Amino acid sequence: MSANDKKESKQDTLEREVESVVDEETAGLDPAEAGRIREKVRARVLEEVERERRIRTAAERRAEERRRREEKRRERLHEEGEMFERFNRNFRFQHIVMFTSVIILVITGMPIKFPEFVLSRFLVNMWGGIHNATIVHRIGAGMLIYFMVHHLFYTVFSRQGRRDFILLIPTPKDARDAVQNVRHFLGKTGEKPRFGRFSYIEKFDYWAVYWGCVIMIGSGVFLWGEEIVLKFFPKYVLDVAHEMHSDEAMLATLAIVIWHFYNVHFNPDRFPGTLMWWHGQISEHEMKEEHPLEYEEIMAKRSKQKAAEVPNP
Amino acid sequence: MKPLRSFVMAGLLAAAVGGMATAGNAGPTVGDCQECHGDKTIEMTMPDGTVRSLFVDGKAYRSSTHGKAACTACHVDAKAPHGKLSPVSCGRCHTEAAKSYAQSTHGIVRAKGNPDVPGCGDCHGKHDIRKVQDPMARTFRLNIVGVCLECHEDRVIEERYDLPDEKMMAAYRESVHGMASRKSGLLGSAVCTDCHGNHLILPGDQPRSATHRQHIPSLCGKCHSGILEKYERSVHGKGMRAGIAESPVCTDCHGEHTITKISDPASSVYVKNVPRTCSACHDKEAISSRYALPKKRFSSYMDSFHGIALEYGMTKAANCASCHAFHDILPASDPASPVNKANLPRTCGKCHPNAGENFAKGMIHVEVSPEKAMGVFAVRVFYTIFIGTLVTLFVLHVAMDLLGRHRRGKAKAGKTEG
Repeated sequence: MSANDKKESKQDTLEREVESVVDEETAGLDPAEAGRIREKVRARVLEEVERERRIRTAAERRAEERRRREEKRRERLHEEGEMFERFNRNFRFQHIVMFTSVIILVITGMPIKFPEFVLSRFLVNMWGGIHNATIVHRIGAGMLIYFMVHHLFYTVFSRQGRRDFILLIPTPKDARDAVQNVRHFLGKTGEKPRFGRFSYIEKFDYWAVYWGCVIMIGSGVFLWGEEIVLKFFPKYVLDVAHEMHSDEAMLATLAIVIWHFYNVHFNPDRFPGTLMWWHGQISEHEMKEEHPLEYEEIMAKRSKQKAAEVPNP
Repeated sequence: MKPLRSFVMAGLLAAAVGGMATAGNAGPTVGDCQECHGDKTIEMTMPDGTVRSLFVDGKAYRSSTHGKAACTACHVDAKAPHGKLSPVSCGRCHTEAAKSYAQSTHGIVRAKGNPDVPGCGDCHGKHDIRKVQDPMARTFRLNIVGVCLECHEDRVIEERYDLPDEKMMAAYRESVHGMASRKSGLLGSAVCTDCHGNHLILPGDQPRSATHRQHIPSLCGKCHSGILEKYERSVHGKGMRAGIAESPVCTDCHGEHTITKISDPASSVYVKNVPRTCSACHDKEAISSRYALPKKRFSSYMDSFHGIALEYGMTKAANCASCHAFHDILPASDPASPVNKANLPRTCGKCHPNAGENFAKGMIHVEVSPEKAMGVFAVRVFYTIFIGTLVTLFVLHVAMDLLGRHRRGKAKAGKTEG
């Protein structure tokens, strides 16, 4: 019995039921009057049935769409393979706090370095004037300081943090990888360097943030509390802090815009960017492409686990 | 007619005629002149074809300051029917004024017979002359500006005599002095004649002129005497007294006709405009070399947070005058100067409470050079090299990556085709 037949039979029973009720009610009336009422009831019932049908199809349409989406996802999963968690929730949170604060700091700080730049006036007036912009800059600074503290605690007290930190320490292999990568770019060798959990590119990114945070927060705190600082230091110390803050800001912005944005968001593999910072997942395909050593390590660990599990069921 | 009656009549007539004759001897009365000149339609065609009214408003004349005098007091050669009268010479009575006028730029040009230039009547009026103190006088304080601008707001005249732009003249109306007299009706406010003089008006570049640079401070000080006193003590005032023409006087900072309140954003001494006003001289190589003044004052200020914040409209940020003072400005070497090293903590403390002596250790106007600020210079050099190297490496890396991808993409396409 197809769905259509079922629907029709259901409609038949409904019709019959309604008719019997109408018959009962109109028994005492004369035939002409009864016929008119019958017609009226029939039209009303049809209308009701049609409405219900329409509602049901809309719901079905939505369900169908959901199913299709699910299927597509599964198909892609098949192509991309298993999803691995590259960044845990804590790490993602740190990254979000950091980039929010950096964006705030750049858009409120750069207009002070480049007052002649076309957007500067807009960026300052957006907050309602320079005074407010300086307050917003301090809010961004507070967020960055929080991030720094959070990350230090994460590095020291979290297992993942400790592990990642050790993996982020530059090794001679990174230098070899860099040379090989350049040779690969230039077509001197067909083989891409095989990266571990963190490539030299990512390590550079990480340590650039480290260096940047130390300089920016250090000099920034000096400038923030200038009146206290001037109790203990002569003014030329503050001038040096000011110069460092301004120059390091330029370096950090350029590093983010050129290095980080290209390697993470805008290179042709990733364009126009990924949502990895949000879900933290990396596909098997990407894993094999970009972090083959880490992938192999995970697989080796799994097979070892499996081997360990089998003997004692 | 009876003889007696006719005799009496004749006697009366003779007396009347005699009376008239005596009156005639003293010249015609105002009433006599008014017989013709009281007629509104009386007019004369001039040789060049223009028609000129010869009407004289008797009422206005009688209420004028000369109203009790006869017409002939000024029109000395007037008699019953008359042709062209000789020009009126006010100097017959007003000798002092005439003497001054003759030396003025107006007087000199008018003496050459130039009709564009005002004579007495053009400013004071003719038959309706009133005393300067009379609010209805053309030369009354509140009216005089309009009288001067009758000509000086005329573009043709301004151009013909190579005078400043007519807009510059009319700008007075919008100035703080102009608004005070025009809108508030303040008699104490400066009008044209207060600065330029009245009869003895001379161009500002002549040493005798009231508006010559050398006289400006005392001229403004006639009203602003407290400020003059401060100015005289300042390095600018001393320079001016010593005859250094480049030393600024009031008008160099405040403007002349365009003087506005310091709270007006258009004013050259409005907080936001002060650095540009000062740097008009202090950013000039010639001036800072000639008087051995420190250089790069403007650029080093504009690079500081004070300068940038001021540019963005933070009016409480320090401008030149906040630290250096304005009318009583003194060189930093003077112990009384607010920017003397010893006084810096107090000066900075106006905005930065608890400012200590460390404020004075180091440059306020930071000039980035090895001699002036070694630390800042070293940091800047380091970062210039560091940023340059890193960015070059970044760009190279990115470019090589893109190039490699491009080449491999092409190779792959070639392979699949082949």
